[in-house]
Amino acid sequence: MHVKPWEWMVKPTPQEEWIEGKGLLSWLSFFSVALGAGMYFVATLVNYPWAMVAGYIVCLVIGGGTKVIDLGQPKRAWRMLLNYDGEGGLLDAMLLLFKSPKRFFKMFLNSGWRTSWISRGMYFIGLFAIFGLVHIILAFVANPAATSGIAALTSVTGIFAIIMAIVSVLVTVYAGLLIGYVRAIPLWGSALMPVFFIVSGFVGGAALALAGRINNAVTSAVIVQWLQVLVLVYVGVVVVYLWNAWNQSGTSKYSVRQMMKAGGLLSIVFYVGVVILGILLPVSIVIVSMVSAAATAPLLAVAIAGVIIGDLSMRFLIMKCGVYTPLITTSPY
Amino acid sequence: MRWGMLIDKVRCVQCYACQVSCKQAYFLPPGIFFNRVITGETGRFPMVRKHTYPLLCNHCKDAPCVDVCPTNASYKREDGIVLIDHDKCVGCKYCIMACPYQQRTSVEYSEQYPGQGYNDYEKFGMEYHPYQEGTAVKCNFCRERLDEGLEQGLVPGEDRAATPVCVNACPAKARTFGDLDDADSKVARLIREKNAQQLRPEFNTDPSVYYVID
Repeated sequence: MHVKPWEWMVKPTPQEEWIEGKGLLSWLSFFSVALGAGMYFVATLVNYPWAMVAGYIVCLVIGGGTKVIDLGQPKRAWRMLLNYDGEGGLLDAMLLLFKSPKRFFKMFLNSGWRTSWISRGMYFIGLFAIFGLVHIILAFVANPAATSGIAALTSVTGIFAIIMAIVSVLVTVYAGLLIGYVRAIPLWGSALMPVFFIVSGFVGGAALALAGRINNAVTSAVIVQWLQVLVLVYVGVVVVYLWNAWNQSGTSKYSVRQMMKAGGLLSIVFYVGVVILGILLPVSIVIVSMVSAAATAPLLAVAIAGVIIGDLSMRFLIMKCGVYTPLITTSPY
Repeated sequence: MRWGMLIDKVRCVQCYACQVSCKQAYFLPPGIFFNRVITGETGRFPMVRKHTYPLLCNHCKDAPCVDVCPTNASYKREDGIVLIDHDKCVGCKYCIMACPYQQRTSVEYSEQYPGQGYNDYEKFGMEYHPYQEGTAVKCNFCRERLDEGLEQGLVPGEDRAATPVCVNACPAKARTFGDLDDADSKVARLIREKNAQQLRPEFNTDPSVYYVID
């Protein structure tokens, strides 16, 4: 969806920084971070430590790693957490803890977290990394009997589970808030963006968590119940989001039209990836699982794959079809 | 004090002198512009009308690029100029995404003539005015000229040595630079007299660049 040079900001101009070339890593990062944190959240609720590990790795290694690689100056990534005005690098900043503790703590207070969602996200991911590691260790070594029922909530593992549930939600939703803050792109600047991110993160996370316990009747039944609700909620959010974008402004309507216009790559991603694989297929399987109690493992596996592909496709379209309003004031958009 | 600019579209002859002079003064790599001129058409033949907009960073009062910066590399000076501390910029490109006027670019050096190496002009520029690859760049209202001129007692907008290069280069005198907060300054007076408007005020960024449309 490129514009010709003479059409730049004269017609709706697509963003390219976060989807073209190296920018593809941003798309993967936003997807992986939400998916991993969502998977961790569901795994925590059903007490499934291995899925917690998988979610942890997906979120931090794949999600965080791709974002750091995408940065223009990755060695300065620490500056998103600390506002250091002195000369020198991270080591000099950390030494301030001993030289000037007041200035050291001011570095945190005055960092970009006050206004920037990227900085806030880095703090959320930092909390996810630290508390998640402790929680995973506790989940593996704790006595299962001691971590069930009401007593579980007051045990150390239970307390970490509550903390991680909250942090997982923050990590899942922050990318939606980050993108939703960009009012310059009407398709993105919607209050539904964080809702979409959190629902899709939980849907994908639940689907992946189910993939690991597909032959475990007890856990899979719980996750299937989650999926039944989440898939239907996800479908509703996607439909409302696209309907809202269609009616919000001329530019956002242009974005949705680009997704649906027959004949292009984007329409294939939309109709095959989002509509068929991401919505119709999982919804059909959910209805089958609701009507007949037995949702067979192969059917569930197909639903899981469909949900993941659909989520990936929808996020790709959101990044690819995000366009800027033309600057020519008499433009029809 | 708030530095601002008036661009009279009625006087603009679309010569691109502003775009070229800025690119030359700052040795900008290929594909990177601090000043641009865009042209659009409306209407149907024979009632076609051409619209030309010289664009540059608007140094908005409520700049979204400053808010979204995770490292505080983008900041606003007291005189209203929005600047980038390139030693802090981490290259996340969030500021580039957030700007509704799309006046920021990420630096990527590339050869003007691929496969032939950098020419002498490019090599001189990379040494005299180097840019950090991967960081964001944009117009800074020629703040070096401004600051140096103010130290020498010159008046930006009136004395050419203290005035942005694009303003000096315009042969049609379509650009006026000055202090928006000074009601007696030439730029403030012209904005009132010619009923100049901000570009796309619905973006709610309160730009410091005004346009005379008709």
